[in-house]
Amino acid sequence: MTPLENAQFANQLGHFYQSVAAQIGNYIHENIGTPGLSRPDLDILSDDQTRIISYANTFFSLSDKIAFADSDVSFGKITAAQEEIKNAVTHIDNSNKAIGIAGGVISLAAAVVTCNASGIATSLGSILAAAA
Amino acid sequence: MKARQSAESILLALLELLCLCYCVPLKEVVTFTSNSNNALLAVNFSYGYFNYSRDSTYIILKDPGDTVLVRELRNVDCTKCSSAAKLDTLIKKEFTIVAGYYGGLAKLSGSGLINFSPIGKAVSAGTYVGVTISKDEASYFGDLTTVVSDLFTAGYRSKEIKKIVKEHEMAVQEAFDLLILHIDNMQSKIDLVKKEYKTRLENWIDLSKTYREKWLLIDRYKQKSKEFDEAVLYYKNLKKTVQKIKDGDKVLYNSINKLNDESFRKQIMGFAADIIYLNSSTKN
Repeated sequence: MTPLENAQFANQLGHFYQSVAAQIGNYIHENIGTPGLSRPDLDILSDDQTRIISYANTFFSLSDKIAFADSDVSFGKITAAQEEIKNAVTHIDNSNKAIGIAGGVISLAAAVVTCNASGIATSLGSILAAAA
Repeated sequence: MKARQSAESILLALLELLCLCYCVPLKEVVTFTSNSNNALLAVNFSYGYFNYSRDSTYIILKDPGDTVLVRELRNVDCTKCSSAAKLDTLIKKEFTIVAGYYGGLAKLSGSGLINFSPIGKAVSAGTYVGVTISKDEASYFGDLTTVVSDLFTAGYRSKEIKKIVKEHEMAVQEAFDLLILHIDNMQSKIDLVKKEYKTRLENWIDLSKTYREKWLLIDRYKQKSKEFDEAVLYYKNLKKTVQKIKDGDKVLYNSINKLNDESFRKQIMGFAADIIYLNSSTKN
């Protein structure tokens, strides 16, 4: 990939995390103050959303710096799984599932940022398992 | 006297003919390039990376004492506010460079800032398309000097524009891609801060015990949300404007050898009009 394509890919990843953060935010918005979302769960989800937002920020910053190099292999795997994860996040129906998915998405971002290919595979698996 | 009048008439007819050949196709190019130049120069980061860094420092950090989050979110620490301001300057400079390119094309297309005097003098003493103008006769055609200058410059300009557009198209398109990317990154970051702000405020509203506390938080949320929404809208419109210029540039490049085509002229004028409209919406 050219530097521009890498920058565009980082931007897409940022958007992906942005959409996950939006889904979690919507979930909180719809369930806050109801028995469906306890205070401890709310705290966990709020923190997770903050972390996901932080990673989205990181990807947008990386995009600006055009800082992705030699990352084709790792990113290829993520591209393939992105749609599946999006669907999983869209269908969050309880807070345990939401917390599980959010945790997996956070691990995935950490693996991407550190270019850890096996970490990417593991976290993708945990996201899909949480969404099942 | 009659001979001089008929010579004038012939020359005027020739000038009109040349006008049709050279000036008309460049008129649309002038409009498109001038509008693009103006739109790119009008870019104003009233809410840019500096403001974003300042806001995200206190919005995204959960608590001053939360060292885990502080460490994780170091990238938005406001010690970076000064470098964020430099980034604003850098991106603004990129816009200025691309604007300069269109400013140059606009001048070449005939927006009037090129020095005509050498050509004007040549016209007064030379022979053009078979019509010889003597020194004596020159004074009668003094008023036409500028028109003739324009005509001959137009021929030169048209050739130069083709050369420049062909030569730099790839770099220009790539520059646009980068500008669009920067705009999108900025817009997305502001949207993220807004999301975080919303969740945080909802959380605090839920925790607050009194109506007064809740009311103050909601009021604050509304104020800050308005600021974020305006900034996001600005970048959204700016992205559309830049995309429109990019698309227009592609059309110009693809039609560079047929600037006379009616369809090209209509199309490029459509882009020029859209750019004015979009540029005005970024100001509102």
